[in-house]
Amino acid sequence: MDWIVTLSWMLGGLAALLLLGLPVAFAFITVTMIGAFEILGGDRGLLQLARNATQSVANFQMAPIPLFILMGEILFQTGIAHRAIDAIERVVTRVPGRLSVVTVFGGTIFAALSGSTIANTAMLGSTMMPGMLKRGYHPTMAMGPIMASGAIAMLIPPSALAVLVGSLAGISISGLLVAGVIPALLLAGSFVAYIILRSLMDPRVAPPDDLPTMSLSERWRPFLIYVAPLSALFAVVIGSLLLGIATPTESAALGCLAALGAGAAYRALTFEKIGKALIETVKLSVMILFIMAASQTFSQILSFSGATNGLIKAINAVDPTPVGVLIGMIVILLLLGCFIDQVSMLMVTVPVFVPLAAQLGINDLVLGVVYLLTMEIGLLTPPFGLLLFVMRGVAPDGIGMKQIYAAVTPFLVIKLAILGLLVWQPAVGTWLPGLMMD
Amino acid sequence: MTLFDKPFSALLRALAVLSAGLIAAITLVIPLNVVLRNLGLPVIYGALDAIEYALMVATFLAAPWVLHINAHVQVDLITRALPPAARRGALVMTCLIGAATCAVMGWYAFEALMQSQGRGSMVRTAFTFPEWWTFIPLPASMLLCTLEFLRKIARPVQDDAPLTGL
Repeated sequence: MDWIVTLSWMLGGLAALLLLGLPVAFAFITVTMIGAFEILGGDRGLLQLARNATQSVANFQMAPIPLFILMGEILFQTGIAHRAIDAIERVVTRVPGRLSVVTVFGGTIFAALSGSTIANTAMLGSTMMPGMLKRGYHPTMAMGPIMASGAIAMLIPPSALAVLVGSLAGISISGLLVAGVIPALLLAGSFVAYIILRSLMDPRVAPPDDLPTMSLSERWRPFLIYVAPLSALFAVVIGSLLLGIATPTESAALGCLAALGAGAAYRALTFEKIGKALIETVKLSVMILFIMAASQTFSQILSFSGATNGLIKAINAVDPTPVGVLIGMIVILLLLGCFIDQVSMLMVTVPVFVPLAAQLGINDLVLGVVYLLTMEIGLLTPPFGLLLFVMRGVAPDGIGMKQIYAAVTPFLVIKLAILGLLVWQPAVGTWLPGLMMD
Repeated sequence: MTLFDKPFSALLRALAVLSAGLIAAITLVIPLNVVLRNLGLPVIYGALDAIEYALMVATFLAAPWVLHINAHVQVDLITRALPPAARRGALVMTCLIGAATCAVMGWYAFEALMQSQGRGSMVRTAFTFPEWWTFIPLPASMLLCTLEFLRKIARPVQDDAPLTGL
C-alpha cells in the first residue's frame, strides 16, 4: 500500500474517531489495531500490538509521570497552594494591576510545584477571580493572567508532559525538564510587564486597590511561613536534577516526600487527603499512560508502511533550512493544538518530527521545548483550548466564551513571541541544561 | 441490571484503589533506595523491575475505572454541539466501536498470553518468572473496558462530563 494512503487513512480515521467523541486512548488503539492488521501482517501484527502495549507501559522512564502529578495533588489537596497565594498577595503592593501580577506570581510558583495546568488554572480562578471582579478589574485583566500563568505548569518542572515528550522523542528527560525553566520565567516576566504597561496606559482595566494598612511583620510573616519553605520543594526537584545526583524518577519521588513533609509541617495532612491525592493521581496518570499503550506500534506502522521515510523524503526534496523546518513543525503543532489534546499532538507528530529534526541537525532540546511551548499554547487557543473551558467553569455567570477568547489573546501573542525568541536564539532553551553536571 | 451494575462499579473502584496503592508504593520505594544507596547500604533488590511492572499493572487495572468516570481525555467539540438525539446516536456508536476494539485487543492479548505460556518463555531480569504473567493485566483490563463500554450504552448522556487533561 502506498505510504500516502496509509498515512491518510490512519490520520483521517483517527480524526474521525476523535471527533465522534471516542476517548483518545481508544481511538488510538482502534486505528493502530487496523494498521497492525494491514501493515504488520494480519494476526501477527495484532499479537505484536498486544505485546508492545504491555512493554510500552512497563517503562521505568514513565515513572516520574504519576509521581510529579502526585506531588502537585498533595500540595493542592492539603490547601498549601491556596495559602501561598494569600501570602503572595500581601507582599505585592503599589504595582499597577496588582492582583493580576499576584496571579502571575502565584501561578508561576504553583507551576513550579505542580505539573497540572487544569489544577493550576482552577485554583487561580477560584482564589483570584472573585476578588478581581469585585474590585472592578476588566474581565480581560482578570481572566487572561489566570489562564496564561495556569498553563505555565506544562513548562516548569515538575511537568509530567515534559517527561512524556522526553520519553517518546528520546530526548534527555532531565535536560528537558531543566530546559523549560528559562522560557517559563521569560513568559512570567513578560506577562507582568504587559499587565503593568496596560494598567498604566488604561487604569480603568485594573483600578488601584487599597490593601489595608499592615505592619511589616503582618505583610511578610505569611510569605516566610507559606511561600519561602515551598522553594525548598522546588530546590529538591530541580537541584537534584541540576547537580546530577538524582534521575528524574528519583527527583520526582523525593519531591513527593518533600510535599508530604510540607503538608505535615503545616498540619494539613490527613489520611483522607492523601487518599484523595492518590486517587486523583491515578485518574490523570492512567489517562496518559493508557494512551502510551498504542504508541510503540503506532510509530512502527508509520515506519513499516514507509510513511515516515516518505514524508521525510518529500520534505527534504524541497531542500529546506533547519529553521524553515522548525517553523513548519511549529505551524503544524499550533494547528493541531487548536483541535486535539496534547498527548495526541505528540503521538501523531513524534514519529516524523524527531527523525526529521535529527537529520537536519535541529537541537533535540530545542525541539523538546518547542513541543512544550506549542502544547501549552494549544491549551489556550480558540476555539477548543482546554483551559478556556476550565476558565468558563470557574468564571461567574454572564461571562461568555467570546470574552474568554479576548482575555487570552494578548497573552497568546506573548507566548508566540517567546516561541519566536527560542527559534531565533536556541540558547534560551539550551543554556541551563548545558550547566547540568553529569 | 442493578444486580450486576453495583458490584461491577465496586470492582472497578477497588481496582483503582489497588492502582493508587501501587503508586504509593512506588513513591516510597524510590526515595528509600536513594537513601540506602547514598549510605552505602544494599538497595532494595529488583526495585527497578518491580516499579516497571507496577506501573503497567496500575495503568491497566485502573483504565476501566477511568473510563467509568469519563476521565479518559476526549475531544467533545462536535458531540457537545449536537442535538440530544444525534448526541445519543454518537454515544452509542462510539461505545460500540470502543467495545469492539477492546474485545479484539483483549482477545489478541489473551492469545499472546497463551502463546507465551505454550512456549514456556521466562522473564529473566532481577526476578525469574514465567513471561505469561506479564500478559495477565492487559486482557483483564480490555475485558472490563468492553463491559464498561456496553454498560455506557444503557446510561443517559451526561451533560457535565468533567474536563480532562493535564
